[in-house]
Amino acid sequence: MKSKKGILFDSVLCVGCGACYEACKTENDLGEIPEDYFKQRLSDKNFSVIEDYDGIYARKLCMHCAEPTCVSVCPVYAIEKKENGAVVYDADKCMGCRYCMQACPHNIPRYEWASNNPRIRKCTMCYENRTSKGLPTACAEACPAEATLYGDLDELKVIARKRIEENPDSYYPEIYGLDEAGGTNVLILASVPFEQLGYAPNLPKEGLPKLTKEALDKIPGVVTFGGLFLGGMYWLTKRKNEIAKEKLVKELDNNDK
Amino acid sequence: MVALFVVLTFVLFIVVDLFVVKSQKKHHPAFSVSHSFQESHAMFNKKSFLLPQGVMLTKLHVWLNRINDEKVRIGIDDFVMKALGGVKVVPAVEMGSFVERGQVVFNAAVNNKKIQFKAPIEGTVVGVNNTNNEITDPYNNDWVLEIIPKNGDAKQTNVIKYEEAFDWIKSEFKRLKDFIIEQSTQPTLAGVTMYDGGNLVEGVVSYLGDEAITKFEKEFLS
Amino acid sequence: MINKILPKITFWRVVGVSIAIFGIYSIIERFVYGLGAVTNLSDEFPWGLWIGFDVVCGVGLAAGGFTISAVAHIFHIKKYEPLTRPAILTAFLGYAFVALGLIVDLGRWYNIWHPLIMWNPSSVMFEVAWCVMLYLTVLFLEFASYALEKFNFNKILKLIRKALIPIYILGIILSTLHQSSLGSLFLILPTKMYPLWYSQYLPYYFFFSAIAVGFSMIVFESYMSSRAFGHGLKFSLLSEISKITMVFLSIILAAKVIELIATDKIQYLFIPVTETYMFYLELIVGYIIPIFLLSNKELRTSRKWLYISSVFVISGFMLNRINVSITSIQRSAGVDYFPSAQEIGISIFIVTVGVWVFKLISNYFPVFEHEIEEGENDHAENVSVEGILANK
Repeated sequence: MKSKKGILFDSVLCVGCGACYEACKTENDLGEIPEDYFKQRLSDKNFSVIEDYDGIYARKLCMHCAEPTCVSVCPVYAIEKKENGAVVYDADKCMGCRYCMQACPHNIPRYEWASNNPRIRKCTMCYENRTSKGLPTACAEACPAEATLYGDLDELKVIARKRIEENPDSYYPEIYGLDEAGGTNVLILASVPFEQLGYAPNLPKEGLPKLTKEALDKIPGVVTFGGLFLGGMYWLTKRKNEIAKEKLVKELDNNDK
Repeated sequence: MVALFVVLTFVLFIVVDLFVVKSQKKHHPAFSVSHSFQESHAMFNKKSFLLPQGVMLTKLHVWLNRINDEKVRIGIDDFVMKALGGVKVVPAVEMGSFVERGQVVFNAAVNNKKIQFKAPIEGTVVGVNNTNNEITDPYNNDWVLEIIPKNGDAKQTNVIKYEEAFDWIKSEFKRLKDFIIEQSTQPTLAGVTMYDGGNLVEGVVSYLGDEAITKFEKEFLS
Repeated sequence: MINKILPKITFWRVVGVSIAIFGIYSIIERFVYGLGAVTNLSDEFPWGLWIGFDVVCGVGLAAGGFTISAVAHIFHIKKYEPLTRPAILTAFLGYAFVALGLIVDLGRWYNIWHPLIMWNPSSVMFEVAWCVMLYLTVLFLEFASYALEKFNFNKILKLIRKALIPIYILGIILSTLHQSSLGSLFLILPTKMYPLWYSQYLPYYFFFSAIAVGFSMIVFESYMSSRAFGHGLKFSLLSEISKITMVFLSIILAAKVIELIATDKIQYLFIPVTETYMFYLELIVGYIIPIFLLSNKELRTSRKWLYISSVFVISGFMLNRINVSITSIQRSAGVDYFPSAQEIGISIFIVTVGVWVFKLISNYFPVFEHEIEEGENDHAENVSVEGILANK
């Protein structure tokens, strides 16, 4: 079995140079690279951005959840969790219902609103050209400060814990992504609580797909029970009417005698 | 806000439609008013029906009454008389002819529309009431035919037991009300309190137009 | 002369034609320039009026078809039979126009058939898509059995009638599934929805309120067609089915109150924000007022108040559905979504076309005549039942 890959973003080490942003734009062929990259937000042209929270830089990108909500909600399986952990979208299958955008707890998927043939756009963990071939992601390769690392998810967790232990004063003592909505393949370290940097707060520890699975699991029961109940009621009420009719006929006969 | 907007749009369409209906001088099924109608007319309700001892009602609303060992009289009942209003009945069979059960034996004219009554028994016609009056005394003077039943008895008919006759009349009255309400585009025609007891205008069916009279014939007289 | 060629100009015809012109213009604009050009949807707010109103409300408002079919065909309460045809026609048109609304809303609408071959059974949307597809087929068959009467295609008619009872049962099960699934769609948004609306019982609320509003829609639609066609109103029947509406509304209201008390959500009732007011409005308009009106026998048996109560139930239902799908998400999305003129125009246009088609079909097919031909249809019913028995 191939090991799960992941990305570690360490906002403490991030210097906000914008190399990851540029690398991402170039790698995914997302058009011209603007000067004011701090002002950019996730969009169909930005799979990954750096946001500036008063000198603390926070990267936003697809979290590549362990149990991706988008994969579970897509009616046509247009989004898939690959063997290395990347969550990848296939435009040929997509019908454009945008349930993935609505359902994503991290608000990641973006849409080509201006297009008449719109696709969902988001970070693919450079699956097609890089990570499926064993290469690191473009952003990790470009980062000069070791703020974005690509590697085995388990190893990244060890690195993250070590960084917190070695510099407890610089780090908020938690890793974002260990169990947010069932855990993610992207881990984040920061000096302040994560919601201050715009990461989705209060996510349940379990994956969200469980919530709808419970409802969907009831379907076979509803069909079986419903079929039996309605069939039974049909027969029962019909019989009741027949008996009532027979009784009426009998009574009328008696009247006549 | 979107929710509010959608609901207000819905309500706006309904309200505008009310004004449109009003400007076209039509009746909206929910808001039409004409209370004066029933006041000038005689009324009846489920308690106001007559049934002399010995008269047997049938589902066809044609009554039977054995007047001696041989002969049975038939005529239209109080219920039909009140529902249709002033009815003239014309026999459709001649003296001495043999009538089958279910055969049309007399006609009544309502609004120049003919409606038919069917025989509840079979037998030979031995008497015809030729007074040709508007029916006012249905069970006595205004009988229609005298028949000697086949085999000498009135067996095997849909006769309603005397004890049950009033309940049956009540249920027929309720059925008539539902019928009126369904047929009527003017709700107040049926009376003020349409449901619990309540009154109906005499001849109410004849006010509903020819189509309703045909339906009445189908639903109540066959 | 001109008067004879042109249809008479009435207020609603003028309004209808204006709606159609703007609607068609907006639809063309949407298919030429894409969703971004005509809607106020955004990455932050991907589902707007078309999903909230056309789909989530639309499917619910077409629920009269399956509820009346259950009462009349499965529970054999014969007297409700006259209500079934218009209700099933309404449902069929309702779903057809939900599908139309979806085509407008789907970004890659030409792939709408993909759920047929690309299966993801863990997706609620997949279930909804399948149920709606199957139910549309079922409704089509039910309606075809009426339409074929008109053309005397007796062989096909016999065939369909033989299968009619299983078709009715299938239709009811499918409706149960997708009415509740529309609620399940939102189960996966626990962190995005406002707590007053998010509930693990959403599927149940959706299902029961669909039943309640289904009967109210039959009442409302009966008044509308009585107004349009000038025929009579099955008033006593409408008054009776409204009792069912009242029972289901009471059940939902009680469940909601119990849930609020049992969970810590009750605190949200006292926070003075828009969501709280909208929640109160929904409860008052959709539950408290209609329960009061319908539980009073005098009001329930008054033409005026029965009509008004149905308007309340329907309004409350729409408030609820749009609150769930739009209001509850606005706070977490951080944007103020309000539909664009084209979104509104297309939604109203779809409803208008629905009304027109209903009128057209009612004029040419035996939708309402059924009540005159009662005797005849009883016979037809017998044929179908005997047919099933003979098959075994």
